[in-house]
Amino acid sequence: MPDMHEPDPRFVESLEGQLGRELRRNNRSATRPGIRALKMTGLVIGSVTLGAAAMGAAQQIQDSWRRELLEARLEVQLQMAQQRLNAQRDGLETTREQVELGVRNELDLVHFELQIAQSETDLNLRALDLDEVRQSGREPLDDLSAPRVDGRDFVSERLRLRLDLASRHLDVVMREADRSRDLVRQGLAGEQEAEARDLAMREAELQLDALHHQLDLRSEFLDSEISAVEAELKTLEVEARNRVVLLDQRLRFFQGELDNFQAAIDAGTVHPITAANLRTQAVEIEAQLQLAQQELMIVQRELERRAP
Amino acid sequence: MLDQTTLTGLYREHTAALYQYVSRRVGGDRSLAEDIVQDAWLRAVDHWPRRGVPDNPRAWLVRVAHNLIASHFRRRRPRFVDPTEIEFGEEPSYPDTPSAAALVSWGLSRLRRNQSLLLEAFYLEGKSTREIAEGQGLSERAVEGRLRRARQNLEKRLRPFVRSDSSGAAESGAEIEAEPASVLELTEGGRRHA
Repeated sequence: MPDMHEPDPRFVESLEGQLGRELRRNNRSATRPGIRALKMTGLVIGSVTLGAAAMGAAQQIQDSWRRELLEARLEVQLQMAQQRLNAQRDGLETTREQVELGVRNELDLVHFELQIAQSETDLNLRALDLDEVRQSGREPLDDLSAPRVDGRDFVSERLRLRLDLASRHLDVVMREADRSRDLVRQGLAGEQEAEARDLAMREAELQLDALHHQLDLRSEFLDSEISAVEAELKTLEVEARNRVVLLDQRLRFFQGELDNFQAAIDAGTVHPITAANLRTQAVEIEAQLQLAQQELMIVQRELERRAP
Repeated sequence: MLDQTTLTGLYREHTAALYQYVSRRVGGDRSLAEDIVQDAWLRAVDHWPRRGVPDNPRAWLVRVAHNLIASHFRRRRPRFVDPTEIEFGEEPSYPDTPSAAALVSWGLSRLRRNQSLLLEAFYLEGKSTREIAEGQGLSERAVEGRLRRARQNLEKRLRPFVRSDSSGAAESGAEIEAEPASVLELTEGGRRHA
């Protein structure tokens, strides 16, 4: 009978392979010469979106030419994000003037400011990605269990940027929800409008909570309070739980919409396609909800199994 | 810089011992032991290329694993265990069930670092008081005194969670009951000196 304290040979073999890969990645980062910025804007401009998708995969960059290509792509993305932001800032003054003249309302200005905040966040995220590529010599890693790069915690920096944006987004949707309730009270809008705004507000709150939670998990991981696997599982748990809550709210909203429409559907005043679309959306949300519940169950079972 | 061949050599030389240390500390909980061993090695691969391989790589790995285990258990609420699971016998030993090992690891995580390391060296690694004394530049008598105080501190922390009706792992703090002193044989007589 094998000793219970002997490691499983499959685990030993698998970890050996993983460490070898990790070492190669670290060594490449340590010996990396100063990276030349490739001036190949024309070549890569069509690949900007492809570059963004590749970032998500966060795969190791095997060759220096790939790294240079990625850097060049990120530089172009950064320039484009900067231009977008400049254009929006130019438009901000015009919007302010229009609000003062009464041509546009206060919420239009708030939306415009939020768009600028989104663009600023986008710009800062891309700048962080570029810094990480330059410092690490690999694609940016966004997992909670990603290592620090020369003592710098890019994962938390990105999370804090997203947190700031989510916080501003929540402020805006709360103002919209307040305004909708005022309009409903004044009889200028229907209950559905206020319900839709409330739903958006709850979604924004959940998004903010999830980011706070991720930041906490990241901190726990860096303090060695949780393992990489635990960090991943707990992140998945939060994401799945939030999806369950969100989808459940959306489903109830759509079912409410269907109920509200029912009389009009029966009277034939609503086009059958509109009703069919609503039903299809409700069915799709129900299927997504079931999937999210299943994911949550699987992740929680694994966390329970790992609990001491 | 740490090269692949050196890493592979170190890995093959020290992994079994590291795993055994961790597995015994966690009472044979395989998935937890694997997580901790993996984390310890990943930290090594992160640190060693920059700071050099330490003189005693195994001691470095064990120290990191010790910290990871302490962090893991420090945050967890201890569960009650049965007295039969947590006896220290004549020989150097450590609880061999996950629940009892978890309780002891939790208790160790609550002690001062030097005390927990001392108890580990004595009970888990099977070092004699003489060996510990030589390693730390202390007299054997001083080590015995420190061991006694560490055992008393650990016993004080574990005692409320050791009870004979522990099935179901009740966790309410209100249900904690004291056990007779004989339950935990964390005494000097529980272990022969070399």
